Amino acid sequence: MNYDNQLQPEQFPGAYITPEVSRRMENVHRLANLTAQALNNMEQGEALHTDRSLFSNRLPVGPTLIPHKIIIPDDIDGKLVGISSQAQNINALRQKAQEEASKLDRSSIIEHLGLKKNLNEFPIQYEDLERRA
Amino acid sequence: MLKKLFDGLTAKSREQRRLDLYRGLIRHEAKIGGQLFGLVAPGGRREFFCLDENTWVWHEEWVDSSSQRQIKTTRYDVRPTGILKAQDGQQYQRVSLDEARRLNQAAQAYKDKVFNELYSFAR
Repeated sequence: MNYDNQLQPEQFPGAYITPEVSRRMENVHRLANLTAQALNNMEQGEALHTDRSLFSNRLPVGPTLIPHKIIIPDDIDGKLVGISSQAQNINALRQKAQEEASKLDRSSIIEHLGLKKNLNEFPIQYEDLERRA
Repeated sequence: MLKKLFDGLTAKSREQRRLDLYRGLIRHEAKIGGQLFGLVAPGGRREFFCLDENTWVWHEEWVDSSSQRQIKTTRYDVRPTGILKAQDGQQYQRVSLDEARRLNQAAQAYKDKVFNELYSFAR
């Protein structure tokens, strides 16, 4: 088939300005744009994938914890600072309680609980505690 | 009665002419698109065209070293998120980034060439 002769204006008078021509032009235009868009998205996806790979290589697996240290970033807001203060208070209370507890000896604890005073009778049985209660 | 029949035939003929024109335009585009990739070997044939708003088609025919005629048709299904291709009715597979880049180059060249050579009167 000779394509060149098929669409000569003299053979299709007025045929060029038709809905078919408009449709073809629109399809070509849309498909060319869609192809560029697809390529762009593929390249972005590839770049993102590469970034993630680099990122994952730089980070250790899992969170890194620094014991006994509370790190407060410069840009942290007041709410988080409040939480941090509470955490510090709780730690202070816990430390104080441990210090107080270390001052007590066994006999004073037994006396306080109203249990047997003879240290040789330790360990305290669960039934004894229940009976006192 | 005769008028109805005549009108029906005229409508059918008009529809057929539109269909023929649309196919003719695609064939002409395919020929222009086939010229984008350089010379075709003697006895071969190459067409590249926009089938619809989602599909590129590349049709290639050539004669191999044992004088056998070979035909390969590749469809590229273009989606916003990527491009799939199927050859000779086989399953679709995702194209590589390099192939997508080459297809995009061909697509933009196709659009320019077709608009300049075939539809320049309408712009």
